[in-house]
Parts: sequence; C-alpha cells; structure tokens
Amino acid sequence: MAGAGGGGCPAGGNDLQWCFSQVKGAIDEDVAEADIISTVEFNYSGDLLATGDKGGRVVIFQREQENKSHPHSRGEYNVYSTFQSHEPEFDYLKSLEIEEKINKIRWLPQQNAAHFLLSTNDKTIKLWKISERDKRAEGYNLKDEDGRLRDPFRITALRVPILKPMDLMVEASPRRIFANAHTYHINSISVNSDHETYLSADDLRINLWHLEITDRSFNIVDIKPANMEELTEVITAAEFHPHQCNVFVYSSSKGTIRLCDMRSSALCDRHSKFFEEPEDPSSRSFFSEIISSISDVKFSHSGRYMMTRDYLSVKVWDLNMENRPVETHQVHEYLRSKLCSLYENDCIFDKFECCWNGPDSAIMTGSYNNFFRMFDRNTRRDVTLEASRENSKPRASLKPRRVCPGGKRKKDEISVDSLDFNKKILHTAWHPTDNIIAVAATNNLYIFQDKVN
Amino acid sequence: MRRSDWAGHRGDVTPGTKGPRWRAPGQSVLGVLRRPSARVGDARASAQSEVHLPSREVSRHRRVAMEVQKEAQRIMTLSVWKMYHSRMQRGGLRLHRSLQLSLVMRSARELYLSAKVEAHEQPEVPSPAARSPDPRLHPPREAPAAAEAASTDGEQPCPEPMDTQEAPAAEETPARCAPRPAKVSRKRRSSSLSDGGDAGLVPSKKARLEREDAEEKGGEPSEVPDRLRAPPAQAEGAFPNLARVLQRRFSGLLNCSPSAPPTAPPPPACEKPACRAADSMLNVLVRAVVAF
Repeated sequence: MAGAGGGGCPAGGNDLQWCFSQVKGAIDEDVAEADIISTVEFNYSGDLLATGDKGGRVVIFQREQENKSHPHSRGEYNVYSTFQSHEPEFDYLKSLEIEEKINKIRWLPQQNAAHFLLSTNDKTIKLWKISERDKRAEGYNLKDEDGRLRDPFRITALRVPILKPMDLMVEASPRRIFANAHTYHINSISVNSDHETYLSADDLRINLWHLEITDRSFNIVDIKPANMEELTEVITAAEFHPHQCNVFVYSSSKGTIRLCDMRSSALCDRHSKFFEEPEDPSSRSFFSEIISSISDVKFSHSGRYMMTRDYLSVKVWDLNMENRPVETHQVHEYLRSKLCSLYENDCIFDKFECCWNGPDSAIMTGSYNNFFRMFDRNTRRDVTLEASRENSKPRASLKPRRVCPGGKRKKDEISVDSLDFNKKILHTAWHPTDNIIAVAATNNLYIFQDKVN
Repeated sequence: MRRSDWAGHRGDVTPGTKGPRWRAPGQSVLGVLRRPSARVGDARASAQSEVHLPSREVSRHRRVAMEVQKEAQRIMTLSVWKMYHSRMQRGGLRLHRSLQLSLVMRSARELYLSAKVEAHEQPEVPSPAARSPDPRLHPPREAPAAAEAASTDGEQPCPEPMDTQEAPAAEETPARCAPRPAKVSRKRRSSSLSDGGDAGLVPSKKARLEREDAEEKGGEPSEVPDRLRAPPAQAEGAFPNLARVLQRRFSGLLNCSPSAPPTAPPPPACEKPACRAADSMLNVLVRAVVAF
C-alpha cells in the first residue's frame, strides 16, 4: 500500500475536506447496551465493512457500485448481511458469565467467491463464511417446485434442472469454532500474512492457530508469573507483521511493545526487540501508570512503522529504533489535568483504537464528545472532527472543532468542561485505498468521505 | 503537576457520567493501607518531636499535607469500591482492570503515607524521604499556595457524605468488630500525634502490646506474609468466598471511626489490619484470578 499515492488517494487527512456520507443506527436517545458498536473493520478491498456490537451481532455493509447519476459521490454502504456471531455463555466451572460482546473482527483475504472473517468474544473465536446465493435450480424431476415429492408413477419424462436467477441471499455460516484456549479475556486477533495461521491474545498469553485446526493451538507467548501476586503487566494488544509471517508484536499495560520472531524459538517469551520510551519525569503524575497503558497497536501497511495508542497520545515507532518513537501526537492533552475525574467515572480505562490510511501518510484515532482526530504525518497538521447527527446532511462538509483547554473560550470553541464523556469514539477504520472512514459513535456508525472535486 | 490536577473537581465531568459520587468522611476510612516502608520509617525519626505551636507557614504546610492525605484516602476508597464492584459486572473480574486499580491504590497509599508524614513533621526539617513522593504529585512544588487554594476548591464541592453507605456499614461494624477484639482494642488505643499512626514501625511499648494481641507489626516483614496468607486462603475457589472477604475488608475500611476528629490522625490500630486488608485484598483478587 505504501506509495499508492496516485489515483484517488491524495496523501494526508488535512488537505482533504471531509464530508458526511452516511450514518447507520438508531436515532433514539435511549441506547440499548446491546447496540453499542464494539469493533469496526474494512476488508482487504474495502468493499465490505464489518461491525460487531455488544449484543454479539455482526453487521456487514457492502459498498454499492458507483452510481452514474451521481458521479460526485462514491458508492454507498448498505447492509449486506447480519448474523448473530456469539451468544452469552456461562462457564459453570468458574461461575462466570461470558459476554457475547464482539471484541474484534478480522477479515481473511478473499480467495474465492465467498468472504471469510474471524470474530471473537472474550473466550471463543469463530470463522464465518459469508456467501451469496443468487441462483436457484428449477425443474427437478423428483419434486415439485414447492418441494413436494412427485408421485413416481407420474413421471413420464426426464428433464435437466436449470438455474434461474433469484433474489440475492447472503448466508453466513460458522465454519470453524476455536474455543477453550484462553483462560483470560481475549483482546486481539490477527491474521498472518501466510493466510493460514492467526494469533489470538489474552491478558497473559498469545496463541497461534491454524485456520483449519480447531482442537489445538500453540502457545507462543506466556507472561504469567509463577506467583500471580508478582503480576505487574498484562498484554493489551497483539498483531502480526503485514509481510513477515514470522514477526509479531504485542503491547503491554506498562506502555512497552515487544517484537517477537517465531523463528528464534518456539516460545517467544524473549523478545527480539523491546520498544519503550523513557518516561518524562516532569509529566509524571499520580495516574501515570494507568495512562501509559497501550490500548492498541497497528502496523503500517508498509510494515516499516507501527503505531501505538495510549490514553492521551498516539505514537509512531520505527521498527528499527527501539528507544523512542519517531512521532508523538497528542490526542487530548487537555485531559491531563482531569485525570482524577476521569478515574472516578471510569473513563480513564477507555481503550481507544487507532488506524492508518492507505499510504500510511495519516493516522486517525477517537476521543470524547464524539470527536475524532486525524494527524497528517507529512504536513504535521492535525484536525479534530465530530461525528454528530447535526452535521448529517448529505455531503455536508465537516467543520474542524477546537477544544479550549481553559480560560477564555473563543467563539466556536468548546470548553473541556462541556465535553460529553459518555460520547466516546473508541473504534475507527480507514478504507484500505480510498479516503473513506468509518467511525463508531456508541450505537451509530458514521461514514465520511473526502470531497471529490 | 499541580495539586489541583488530581484533586478531582466535581465540575470537571459532565453530569451524565457514572461512577460513585460518595466520599469518605474525613480521615476515618482510609487510615488503612499502610505498609511499612523504609521511606516512612526514616521520616519517623524526625517526626518524633513533640508538637509545638505552629507558625503560619507550618500550619499552611500542614493543612496542605492533610488535604493531600484526605484526597489520597478518597482515591483509595474509590479504588476499593471499584475493585469490589468490578467482580459484579458481566464477564467477571478483568485482570487488566484489577491491575490498574491496584496500581492506583498503591500510589494513593504511598501518597497518603508521605502526606501524613509531612503533616506531622516540622517544615524546617523536611524529611528527604517525605520529599521524594512530592514530585510525583506536583513537581512545581513552589506553588503550595495555588495548590492549597485549588485544593479547598476541590474539597468544597465535595459532597455527598456517603450517608446511605455509611449507615449500614456503621451498623455492621460493631457486629464485625466483635469477632475481632484485637482490632477494637487497637482502635481505642492512642491516636496521639507523636505516634503519627506509624506505631507499628517503631518498636514501642504500645506496639509491643499490639504485637502480643495480633502478631502483626509493620516493622516485621516476616510476619506480614502470615497475615496476608490468611484471608486469601478463604478466598480460594469460588467467588462467593471472595465476595465475603471483600465485604468484610471493605466494611472494615469503613469501620474506622467515622467519629474520629478530623484533625487527629486516624487511630493507628485501625490502620494495620486494614492495611493488611488492602494488601490482602489485592492478593485475594489476584488469587481469585488464579482460580479464574
């Protein structure tokens, strides 16, 4: 994807004018817990957009072909398939309820007409096959059109059934269920570039699976201490390298990232590279340890960089340099002085995700008050936009928002105290090649596009 | 970082936010969470001196330190509440969340201890040990005035005395105290300033008496594990046990004399078992995760 700057993909998030395209979801003020979107993911081509919610459902949107009568707008995303991926379960041994919330969805590269994706809740990963059926066979010999068996004595001639078109039907069926491999809560899954294996990570362990084999997995990372009382850090995210099938990274709650090479040993407890930025003593505070916890790690499409998200910032790391990130972008620094309040209302534990654009020239992440932020790595500019129903007119441009940290509030600025901390954007996704972004705001999914001039 | 930064202004966050809004009364609750540390022990010596009439500077200094203490207590109680509450949510205990809460609780405890030491020492002889936690709080230490002003701000909107929660807890406490005469007796014992609440750290006659009662002294780390081990044993296995232990510990925290005068340090007696309680609670949670 690197260098794919030509065509319809100008670099950066800020030279563009972002416009509202669509919003999916109920308008109700009363949000049902089950409708809260918990993950968003484009597939490899960008034609399919999958969302998972807390109720265990997966909704897949498909991009329509471009409409000739509206050449100025790209194809819209419409519902393609909806299915219940996970159900609530009960672990009788531990007397624990297992939430059906979909933690992550990852698409597999398309190899035939069907689409495959992995979806996971806290304990179980499932491989789903989504296939289309648009033809129906007619003219059977042994049964009528309505399915009733014909009386054999009535059959006087043989005919060959013919395929007739029918209304498109999209079926989702679970092809593999990968269960019982995790003691702790699964936080990440990542498909390997070999398209045959994938990893799943929980708080203390990472397992390697083969897509065809469900009854066993290899444990490749185990950071559980012999004495649990000595536990100091947990795994928060993990991802395979986009091109090197032997390399993966995992982040920790202490703000460190470890890169592991599976060729070096079967158990990758010893890292090959260790990424950590020394703490700035002047910014040390009471809640430093919590806010340094990394909530998401993403490789760039090129595989040269990786990005990590902690509570207040996004950092871009060069894989060749371990002692500090090459870029640090402040997402909402004005919250640093409010950490105590954020601890009280549990917002300090929110896990924000981040994503790259196609050419790796821009990065995006969410914030509060339904704000999301984009950083252009080349121009060093950043912008804050809002996903709201008020800005929901078709092709309406999004106006950049500004948060006033304190003191005098200028016009059009919003003060920190007015931010709605219940409206948080944790999950965002960027189309792999085009400038189309999907932003999950609680139970609504917003789709924005750049203005095509 | 300024004192106001973490003082937790209520007005910071929009009304729609969730979370407990109650506050611990004065210093009664979190007397708790005391763990012997070399740092505090070092400061102990300098804090031994008797109280003299404070100058304006000293009293302001002391006031700030006590505000800090109160705030640290509040955060500790809040953390305990969150930990207890987190096991009730769907999906069970989250390891990462529990770890983060325990980290905050530890920080709050250290802060509380260092603030307490500061509140009782002479400002002319600042303990180097007590100074060290300060940068954690607010590196620009030269703005105590601003910090204090902000802290009073932070304390005002303070709020809701935890009426509903306190009342039942207070009722429970006599019952719970009964099976623990040692605890109660320690509670009644001194709350003199000279003790500084660290009776356990320095061998004294009173401390020794306590030692006879309930074989735990802060100054003897070897005994700590014994004490720690007891509650976790109860919590092994099914979560209902954990619930009981947490409930007991939690109300043990609330136990410590809501009627204590705000200016006096919390009775040292109260601190020790509850200190163990918090430690053991962390262990309990951790062990519960093992059973998990």
